[in-house]
Amino acid sequence: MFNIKQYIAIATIATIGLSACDAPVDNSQIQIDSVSDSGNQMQEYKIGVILSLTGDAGAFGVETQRVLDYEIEKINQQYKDKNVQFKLIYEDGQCDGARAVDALNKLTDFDNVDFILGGLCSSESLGIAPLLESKNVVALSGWSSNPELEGASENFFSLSYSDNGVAFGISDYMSNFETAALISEQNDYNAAIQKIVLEQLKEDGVEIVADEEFPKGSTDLRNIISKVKSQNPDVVLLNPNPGITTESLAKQIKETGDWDTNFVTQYAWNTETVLNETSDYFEGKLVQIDAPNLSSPELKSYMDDIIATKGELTNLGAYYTASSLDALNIMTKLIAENDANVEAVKNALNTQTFSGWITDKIEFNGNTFVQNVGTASYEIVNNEMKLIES
Amino acid sequence: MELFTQIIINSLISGTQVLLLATGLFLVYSVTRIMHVGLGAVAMILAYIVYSLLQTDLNIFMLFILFLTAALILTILTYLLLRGFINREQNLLGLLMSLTIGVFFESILSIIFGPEGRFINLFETKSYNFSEITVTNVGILTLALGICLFATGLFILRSTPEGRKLRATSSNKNLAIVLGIKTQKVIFITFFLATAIAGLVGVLKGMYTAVTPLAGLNLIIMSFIALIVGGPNDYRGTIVASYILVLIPELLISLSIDSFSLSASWKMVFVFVIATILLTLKPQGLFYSVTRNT
Repeated sequence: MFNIKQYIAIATIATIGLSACDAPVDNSQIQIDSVSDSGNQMQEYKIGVILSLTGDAGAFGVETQRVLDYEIEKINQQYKDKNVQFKLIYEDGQCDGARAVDALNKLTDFDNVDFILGGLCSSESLGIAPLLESKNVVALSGWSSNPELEGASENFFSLSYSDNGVAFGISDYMSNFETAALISEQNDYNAAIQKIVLEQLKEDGVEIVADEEFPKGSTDLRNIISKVKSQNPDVVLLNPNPGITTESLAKQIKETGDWDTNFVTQYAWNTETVLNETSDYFEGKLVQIDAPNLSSPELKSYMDDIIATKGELTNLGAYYTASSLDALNIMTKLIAENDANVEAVKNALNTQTFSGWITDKIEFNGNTFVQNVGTASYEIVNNEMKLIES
Repeated sequence: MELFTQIIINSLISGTQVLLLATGLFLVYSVTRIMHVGLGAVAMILAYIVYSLLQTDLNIFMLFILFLTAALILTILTYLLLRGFINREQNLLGLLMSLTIGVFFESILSIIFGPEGRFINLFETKSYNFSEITVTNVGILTLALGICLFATGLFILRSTPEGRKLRATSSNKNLAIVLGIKTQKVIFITFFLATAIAGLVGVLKGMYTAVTPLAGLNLIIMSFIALIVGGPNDYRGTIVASYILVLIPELLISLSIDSFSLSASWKMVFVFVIATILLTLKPQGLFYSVTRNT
């Protein structure tokens, strides 16, 4: 009567129909789904994590995941006696707003998650922030720093220092010179820094002799470097994204021999590879404006433990390792204390003060970015970035 | 003047990379009528293989042998996959198949090595500064290898029996078969040459700048445009087009200053504008001229 194709078609339609008729899932039931060894009901809270596990900031995302994986094991150990456990569900935002929105939709609609850590890149956070209130989800990022995030959503918070601080620090330094040049990668983070620095330098009367941009991920920067060098600026802002572009820029500037100029940069320079390969050239010539100096021996020892257990943290650095740990600790603490009530967690983030690795007084006071966190200046000494001013 | 000279030198080096890859495209196209755009990804695969081998203690001779072995394996793989599309009327299918192979290779590389770029440190990079002009030993090597390959290639094509077989297969495959030439063997050897040259380009790129899993795509786009603009049947056109497409955009961007300064993002815009102009003026290739057969 029916041929095989018709049978398959009927079966497919029937399966889809039955799936659609399935009863809606209750959020609260999802979060209680296991029983502890002692026989008591174990409450499991799911936390969605949107990181750039691939893409431009893939190396950062992978290292952040190592930190979170390490910390969640410790947290779950602590909460075991209280019959509370946390489960992290990772999604790859690929350092892209649209991808991050896909990740958020998946986490909220399929995994029934109410709490998010992330995004990692500012572009991810800028993508998800406008959706958080309508989805009744709270997001705490340890990493996003674009000033445009300020006020983007009442449900979004970031433990990163704002890029504004870095940009103002850079322009303060550059204002000491008469002529300046900028080399920037075309990326959200770099564009934000470039914009503020340009505005500030113009206000301060510094002549901009070159303002060069290069496409995201470019590795052949020799012509741009030659162009900037030919303008003989007193100071040059090196504003690439961390990773391969920073390495390429550093190596290719080194190739061109001596410059009669000073260099200033942001956090991208502070990686082991860049410092190992080019610090002999840049020592005494380059100032880095970056996160506050977190040099406590306890943090260093904690990081060593994470590295030994989970793998390298070459790119993440002390600040973002600390902010990753703080983001997870604050989020889990508030979820447990408020029994996963979204409004209560949001209010607590707005009003409470927390103690963490980045500072003893982590507070938002109704702002998107954490307060009480500034920037610091560093220079290269013996292959390491050393604090010169905080 | 120093800046102008520096841009010329840098562009000659980048142009040579584009030309070498375009040479592989040209060779394969001449005997199969397939635009083997997957060669960009092949270049990256071989570059990453060399990168991985360099993490071990292999000597340069073993490295070279393993590089050729990997190139041979990739040749067999791509040849078997593309064999069914050789000299087909609809050569778009061959291009699509080659593109698919390329995407597959790139995905594999991304999965294994991640998105981060890699430098290939076959030897220490040194730079030589003459007044304000800088050139690296890798840049000099690229130019020298380019010249050597062209000279050797021209000699083989024009003065050896193998070269004549290749040219015969290229101009009329059926007649070549009638004359006793083993055209399948010629095609396979051509695939191997193209793959090895692509691998060389990948390694040179990894030494001169860096390689990423997707870097082959950018390279092959430039080489593909150079081949089309130069005329896929005339190698002279490919040579000239490769350098024009790199040099003119770089000069326009680098020499633009003050309020007329252009960012490097304009590069591909200029490439496509130049390609459009040249294709409009010379649709059959840069050196094509109408001749009457008597």
